[in-house]
Amino acid sequence: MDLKSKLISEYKELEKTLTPGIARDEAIAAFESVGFPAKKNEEWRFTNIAPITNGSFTVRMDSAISRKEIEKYKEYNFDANVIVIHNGHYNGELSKIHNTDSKIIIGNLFDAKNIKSAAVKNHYGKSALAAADGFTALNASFSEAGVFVLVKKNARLEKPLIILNITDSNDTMSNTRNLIILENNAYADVSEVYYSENKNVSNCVTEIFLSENSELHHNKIQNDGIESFHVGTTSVHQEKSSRLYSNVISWGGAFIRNTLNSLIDGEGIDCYFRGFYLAKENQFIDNHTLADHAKPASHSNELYRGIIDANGSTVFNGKIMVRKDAQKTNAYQTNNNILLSDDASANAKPQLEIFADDVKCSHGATTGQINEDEIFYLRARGIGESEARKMLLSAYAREVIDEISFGQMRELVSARLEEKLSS
Amino acid sequence: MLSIKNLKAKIENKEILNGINLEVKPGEVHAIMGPNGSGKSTLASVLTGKEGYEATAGEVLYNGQNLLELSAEDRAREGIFLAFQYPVEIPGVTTTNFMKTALNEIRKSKGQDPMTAGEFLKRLKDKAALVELDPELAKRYVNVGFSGGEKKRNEIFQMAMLEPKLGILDETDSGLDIDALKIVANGVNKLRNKDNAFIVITHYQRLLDYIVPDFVHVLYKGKIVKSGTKELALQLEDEGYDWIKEEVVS
Repeated sequence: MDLKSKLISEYKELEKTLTPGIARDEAIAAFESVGFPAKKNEEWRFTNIAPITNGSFTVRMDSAISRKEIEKYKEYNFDANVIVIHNGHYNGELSKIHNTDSKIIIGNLFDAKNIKSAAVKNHYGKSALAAADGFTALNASFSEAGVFVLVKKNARLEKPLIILNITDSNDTMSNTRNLIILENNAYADVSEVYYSENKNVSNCVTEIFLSENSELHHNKIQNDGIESFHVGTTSVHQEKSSRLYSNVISWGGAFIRNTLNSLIDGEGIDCYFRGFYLAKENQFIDNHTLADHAKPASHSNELYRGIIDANGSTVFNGKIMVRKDAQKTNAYQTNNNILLSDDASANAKPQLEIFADDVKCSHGATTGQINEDEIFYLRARGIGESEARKMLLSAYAREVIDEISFGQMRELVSARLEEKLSS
Repeated sequence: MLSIKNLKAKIENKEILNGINLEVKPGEVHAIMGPNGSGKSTLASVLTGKEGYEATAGEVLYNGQNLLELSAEDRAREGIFLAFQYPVEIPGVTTTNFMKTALNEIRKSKGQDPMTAGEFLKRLKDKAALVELDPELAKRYVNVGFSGGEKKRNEIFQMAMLEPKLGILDETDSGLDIDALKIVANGVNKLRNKDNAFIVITHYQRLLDYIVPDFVHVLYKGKIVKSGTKELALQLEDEGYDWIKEEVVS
């Protein structure tokens, strides 16, 4: 049985046991109709998903993890709210929620009181549409765990929130689903951190709604093992004067596909997309982004940088859409790739679609090697060649990593970067 | 200190240096002048180990060892410093971090411990004052967004930080206005002592009013065709290079 049929029949078996209250039947029907993305789908043209679709993955999985095991993860001990999701199960016992502000809700999206709430009803599935994409449809069919964040008007989540996703099951597909809602003038800092070992697929969807003048710092940090697959969609809806600071750090996994979209649906919005990826032996990392300017006088700024070594390969597809009404848009995009080996490949595809006439938009993509003049300059001061290379690569990556505003997270990511550049 | 004998070198199969002879002793300042394309910068690149510059004949002894066998970083660790004609911008690396790493790599090669933070900061402050460089500039990425004059001053600042035995200044005067030129020259003069030496490569005599050389050499078509004292530089300033070219031809 192929994976599509297998998953559809699993849905039929599990249907009665899944948390009610969301449009699962419609989602599985959408999956049945669109299936997994085909190569001829423009959004997936450079992304070979055969390693996933040729596998035999089940959505059935168990979770057992001890406090001792979880404490090994440095992020767990940060000064932050931490939610643990293990093998696609929300672990309330190990999660640490420090927040006591009644204007802030943090918890399992699929708890009855959350899933039935008006806030969820009004937002769930409204940004990441199940009908648009097979993986999103699968997620909407099966998701049973994920984080719900609601920061009400004028409230501020004092400590950052870390969603610590740990997966160690074999031949499984987990479908976690997060929903983050910031009301007017609200503030939050949320990091999704992923650690997967063994052969499994993480199919994650995060929907984000930012109301007027709210500010979200959102990090996605992917530290997966060499057998793991990750397909993730982060879908954002921004209203007037809201600010999004998104940082995506990808350096694990056999296969990563990140889709990041923001609908810039008001004036005075800032939308920052930043990413750093490091692909080594047998790794494939694909980032697809869309800054969708629907209203006038907003600003988006994107910087994605990659280092590709051995036979690693990457895709960057960044689209800026400026709709007819979005006059006075400022939209910038840069993608840089450094190839460290002859077998490494980087596929960069910037796309500008502009339907307004009074806008400032630019994009630039570069792919090359480390600058030898810079290497010589450092060596001429007594710095050894390998140290010089490491310094330059580190500096290149840190222009992205330094944008992570959560200090402990930034320091951990920087330390990991140094380790990875030394190995 | 430095002994160059019959040095020939090429880049991409093009002979640029055609048998250079030069002796530099501690405490001396040598000026190397010459028209464009005579090989001045190539000599600097060969001495500092830039890749792509291949010595095809002759030898270069530096304190008794074969310089040409050393890597660029080992030459720097042994006390050779090049002030670049075109200083390189290094986005993402602050001058402070650059100098700290360089100093500690040099110390490590000599089996010394890294400098303490206090020692390093003191040196940074002192040396920045020496070249009248705003110490705030050291917190910025190396040469990024610097003016031409700031870049050249940053070179001399780095030289002061690393305290080389042999400083090679490659057209440090180009692109400098007279005030910046005086500051740079003044910095070099303060660094001069009986144990170190400088090779000052320049197209114009102007810099040599401020950094007074012990010897002046004229490089033409890859060879030193005339050597003298500082008066030779004045003569070149007055009469240009044509008479040298005629002498060589005849």
